[in-house]
Amino acid sequence: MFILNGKGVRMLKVSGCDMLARSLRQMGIKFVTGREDGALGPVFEVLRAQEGVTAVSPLGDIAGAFMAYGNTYYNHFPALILTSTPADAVNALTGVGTAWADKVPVLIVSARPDIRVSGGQAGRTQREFFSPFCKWSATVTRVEEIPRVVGQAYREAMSGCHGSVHIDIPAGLLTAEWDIDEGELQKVITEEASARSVTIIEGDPELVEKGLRALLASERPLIFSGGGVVHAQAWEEMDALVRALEVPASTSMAGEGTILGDNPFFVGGPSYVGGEAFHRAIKRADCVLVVGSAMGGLEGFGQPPFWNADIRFIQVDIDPINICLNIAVDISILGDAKAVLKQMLELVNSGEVGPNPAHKQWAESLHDVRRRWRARVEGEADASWPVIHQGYLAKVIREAADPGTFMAIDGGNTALWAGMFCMSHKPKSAFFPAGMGTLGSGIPMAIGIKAADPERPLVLIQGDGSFLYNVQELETARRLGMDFVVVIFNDGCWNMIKGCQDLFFGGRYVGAFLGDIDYGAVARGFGCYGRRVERAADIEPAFREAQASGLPAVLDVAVDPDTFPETLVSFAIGEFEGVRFNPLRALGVPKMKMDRRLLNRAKYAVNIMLDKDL
Amino acid sequence: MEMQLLTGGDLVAKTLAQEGVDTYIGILGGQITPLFDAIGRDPDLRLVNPRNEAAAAMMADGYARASGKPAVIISTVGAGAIYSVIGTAYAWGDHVPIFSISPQVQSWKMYPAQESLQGCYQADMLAGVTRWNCIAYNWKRIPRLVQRALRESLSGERGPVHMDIPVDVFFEYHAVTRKGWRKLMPPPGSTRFSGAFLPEGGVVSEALGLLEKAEKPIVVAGLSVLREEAWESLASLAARISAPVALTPAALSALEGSSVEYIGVLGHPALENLPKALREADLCMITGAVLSEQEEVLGMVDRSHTRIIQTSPETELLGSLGPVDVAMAGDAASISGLLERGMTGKSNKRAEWLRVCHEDFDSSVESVRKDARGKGSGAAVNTLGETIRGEDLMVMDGGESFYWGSLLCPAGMNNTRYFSHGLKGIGYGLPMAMGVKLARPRERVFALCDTRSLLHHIQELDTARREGIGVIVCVVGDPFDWSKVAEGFGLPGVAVTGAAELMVALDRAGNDRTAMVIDMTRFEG
Repeated sequence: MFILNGKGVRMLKVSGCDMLARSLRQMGIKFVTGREDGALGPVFEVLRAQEGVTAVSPLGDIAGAFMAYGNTYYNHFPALILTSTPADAVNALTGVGTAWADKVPVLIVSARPDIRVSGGQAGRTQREFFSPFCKWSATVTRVEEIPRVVGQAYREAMSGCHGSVHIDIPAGLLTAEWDIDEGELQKVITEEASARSVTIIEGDPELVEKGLRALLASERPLIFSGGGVVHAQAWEEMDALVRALEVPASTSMAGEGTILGDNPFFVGGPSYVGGEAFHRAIKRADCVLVVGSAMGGLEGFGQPPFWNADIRFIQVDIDPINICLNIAVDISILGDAKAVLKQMLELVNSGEVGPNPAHKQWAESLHDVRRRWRARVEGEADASWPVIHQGYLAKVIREAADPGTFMAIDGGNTALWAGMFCMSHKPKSAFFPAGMGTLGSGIPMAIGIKAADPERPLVLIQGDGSFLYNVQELETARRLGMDFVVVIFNDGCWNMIKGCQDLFFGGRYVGAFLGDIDYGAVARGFGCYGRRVERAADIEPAFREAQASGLPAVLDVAVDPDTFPETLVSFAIGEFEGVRFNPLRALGVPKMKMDRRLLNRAKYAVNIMLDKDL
Repeated sequence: MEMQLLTGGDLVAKTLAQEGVDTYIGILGGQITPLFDAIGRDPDLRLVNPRNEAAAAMMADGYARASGKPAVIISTVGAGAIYSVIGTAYAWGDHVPIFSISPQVQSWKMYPAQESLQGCYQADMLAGVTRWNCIAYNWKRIPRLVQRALRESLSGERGPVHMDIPVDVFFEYHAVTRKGWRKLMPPPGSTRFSGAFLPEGGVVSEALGLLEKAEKPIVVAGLSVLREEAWESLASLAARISAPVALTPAALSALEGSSVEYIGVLGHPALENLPKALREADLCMITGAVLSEQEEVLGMVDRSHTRIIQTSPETELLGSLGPVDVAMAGDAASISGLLERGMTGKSNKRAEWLRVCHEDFDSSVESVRKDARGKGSGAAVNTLGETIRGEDLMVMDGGESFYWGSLLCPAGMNNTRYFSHGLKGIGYGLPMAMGVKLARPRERVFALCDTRSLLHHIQELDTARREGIGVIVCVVGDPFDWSKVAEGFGLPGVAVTGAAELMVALDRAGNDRTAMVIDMTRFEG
C-alpha cells in the first residue's frame, strides 16, 4: 500500500512484520523454522516464498530449533527460529541451549506479547528464557530500528567466538506502520540489514613465529585442533600445517574432521575416542599447540590425570576469554583460526621454519600405537558375537555407506561407538552435539542438514533411548521428501546409566531398562520405512533396502546391552573428577555384580588413560 | 545407636517421603544416580521413566492437578534440564506445584561455567518459570532446602520450584544417627503452615454489605479454587447468594457442569453470554484467581457501574490492577466459607438474574451443539460427551479440543477436566493425561487432542505401554492414520466414525493398564 506525499514521492506504509521480513531476506536467511499462524506468521510466509529459502514447520514445537542448529552448523550461516509466543520460545530452548554449548550461531526472533501486568504469565519477557544461551539480545522499540538490529544481530553472531543472538519484538510493533518513501526504504534495508563480512583478526606475527618455533623445538610436540577450526572453516589449513610440520596431531570432539584420516601424523580421535594413541600423546607431550579450543570438560580441562602436568601450551583463539580459561598458557595468540594457520603455513612455506627430524621417532611411536589399538578394537568388533556387537554394526554401516555420506549422531554410548567406528575424518562429514550431548536432537538435526545439502546421503546413528524424543519429525521429513537412514543401536536400555549403576551401585538397576521395543514398527506407523534386524548377516542387505526405499528409513538393530565402549571410561572420569564418593561402602553393596570381562575392560581403559605400560 | 550412611540422593528422597511426596518422573543421568538409587531402595516410592523430559514435567503437571500433591520431575544436567524447562513452564503458567530437581556439574566448576560437558546456567534458566529455585551447595542443608521448596511451591498462588544439586553434593555421604537425623530435618507436620488464611473481619463485613445489596452479582472463579481444593465452598457460596459463576479456562471443572450457577468458561469464543453477563453485572467477585486471570476478567467489566471484590492469597497483589471496592487477603476456601456463613437474606432479583444468565448460557451451548451436528471434530466431541460417565476425567489439549470439549464434555464432578492455559502452549494432552492417570489410577482418564497437538509428544505412547498407564486418547482434527501409529507403538488403536463404534471402542478400553488411541479424525456422526 502506498500514498503520494506532497512532492509526488511514492510513500510506502510498511508494518513491523514487513520490515522484519525484508531485513531478514536481505541478511540472506536460508533456513527458517516457525509457523504460518501467530504474530510472526507473515514473516514466515514471506521467507517461505523466497527462492533458496527452506521453511519448515515442525510437528513438534521442540524440534524446530534443532533443525536450525543442524542447518547453521553445516552452513556456517545463522538459521532463523521464529517464536510467536512464550510457549514457542520455551520449546525452542533445548535446541538453542545445544547450539550455545557448541558455539553455533542461530538467530532467534521472538514476538513478545504486550505486557499489561508485570508478572502476568504470558507477558513474561522471552529474553529471560534465552539470556543464558545467547551472546547478544536486543529489544526493538521502533519499526525503523528493525533493519539495523537485524544487521547487528548477524555481526554479533559471527564476530569473535560465534554464538546465538536474539531479537525480541513487542507484538504491537509488528503491526505498527511506518511511512517511508520507496527508494529510501530499499536503501535503508540494503545498507543496514546486509550480512556484511566480519573483520578477520590475524595473530601477532612475532607470537605466531615464537609459537611455531617453541613447538618445533620441543621434544614431543602435539597439535590439538578444536571446534574453532570448524567454525572458521580452516580445515584445509589445519591439515596442511600438520603435514608440513610433521607433528602428531588430533582433534577435540568438536574439531572432528579438521585433520584428515589419511594424514600420517593424525594420532586418531576425536579426543578420547582415539583411544590409546590419543591418551599416550596427551600424557607424554611436552608442548601442545591448541587451536580453537577452550579446553573444556570434554578435553579433560587440559589437566592431569589426562594430560601431562608439565605441558607448555601455545593457545590460538579468537576470544581472549577462552585463552587461559582452563590451562596455563606459555604463548597465547589472539586471532582467527584460519588467519593464524595461514600465517603459520606461510612461515613454513617460506622456509623460515620447518619440521624437526628429532620428532620422527615420537611420531612413529604414536603411529604404531594407533595401528595396534585400531587393530585390536576392530578385531574385537566382529560378527562372531551371539548378539550383534555395536562396533561391528558401526563398521558394516561405515563400509556399506557411500564414501561421501554424512554421519549424524544422536545418543550416549552409541555416539562413542559411532565415534570409534564410523568416522571418515573428513571435513563436514560427521556431526554430534558434543557440548551438550543432547539426546533426541538427531532427527530434526538431520532435517536441518538435509535442507542445507539435499543431494548428499545422510545416515543418522541413533541410540534407542534417544530415538523417540522427537520421533514425530520422521513424518516431517517424509512430508518434505527427504530420505535418510536412521540406524538404531537398540540395546533396550540407557546403556551409560546401566554402566554407572553396575559400577557404582553393584548392579542395582533403577530406571535403566526400556525393554524390547520394535522401533521399525513405530517408523512404519508414520508411513516411513522400518525394519528390525537381529542377525549380523542381515545388516548390510537391510541397509541397502532402507536406502533404496527413498523414504526416511529406520533400521532397528538389536545389539548387546551387556557391553560398553571402553572410551567411555575416560569421559566418565572427567565428569566425576574430584567427586568424593565410595557408594559401594556407603550403601552397603557387598561386591560389584559386573562380570569379569567388563570389569577388565574398564581397568584396561583406566590404564590406557593413565598411559601405563600394557 | 542405629546409624545409617546417607548420600545427598538419600536426603532428598527421605525428606520428600516424609512430606508425603512419593512419585518421581524423569530420565536418568550419571550425576543424579544417587537419587535414583535411593528411589529404587524404597518400595513406597514410584519412578516413571518417560521418553522426553519435557513430557516428564507435563506428566508431573497432570499428577499435581489431579492429586493436589506435588510430583517430582528429575532430569540430568544440561540438555535434560533444558528439556524439562518446557513442561515446567507450562505448569508455571497455571500455578501447578511441581518440584523439579536436576544435578549440576561439580560445585567448583558450575558458576561461572568453564566449559564443563553439559554445564550450563540451569538456575538462571529456571528462574523465569518457577516460584522459587536454589542450588544446594551443602549436603547438610538438603533436607531444609527441600522443605523450603515445598513451602514455596504450596503457599500463596502456588507454582513450580526447582533445585540444582551439584554432583559432588549428590554423591557425598555421611553417617547419620537417629538423633542426628532429627537435627537435620524437623519432623513432619512442623515444616509448613497449613491452616486457614483469613481476611480481617471488617473487610468481610464490607464484602457482605456489597453482596447483600447486589442485584446482579457474578462470581468469577480462577484456578486457585482447584489448587486449594476449594470447590465445595465455592459451590455453596454461589448457591447461597444465587450468583452465576464463570470459570477461567484453567479453572475448568472448579464447578460441576450441571450446577445451576455455572454459566461457562471465560475466553471461549462461542460463549457470548459471558461478556454480556460481565458487562451487565453490578458486582463482580473474583475469587481464587491468579493475577493474570484477574487481569483478563477486569478487562471485561465496566468499572463505572460494577463493584469489584478482589481476593488473593498474595497480599501485595491486591489493588495492583487498579482500585477495587473490597480487597480481601486470604485463601479461596476460607473467604467463600466466611461469606457464605455471613449472608443473611435471599433476593428474588438475584434469582431472576441467575435464571437469565443461565438461559443465555444454555442457548450459547445449544448453538455450539447445533454446529457440532453432522461430521467432523464437533460431532466427534459431542458424541464423546454423550458417551462418557460423570466420574470420568479428561485432559483437553489446545485448539479444537478445548473449543468443543469444554462445552460438550462438561465436568460431571469437580476437578475432572484439565486444560493448560497460562502459557498458551499445546502438545501436553497425552503426557498430562498420563500424569492424571498416575494420580487417580481407578478412574477412566481421557486425553482429548487434535492431530497437531497429539504429535508433539507422541513418544509417550511408549511410556504408557511400558509403564501400564491406561489412558484413552481420543483424536480429532486433521485426518491422520492414528490407529497405525498406535499399533506402531504396540498399543491398540481404533478408528471410529460413529457413536456405535465409539461405544464398542470404549467397552474395549475397560482395562486400567492398557492405553489406547481412538481415531475420530474421520468421524461422520
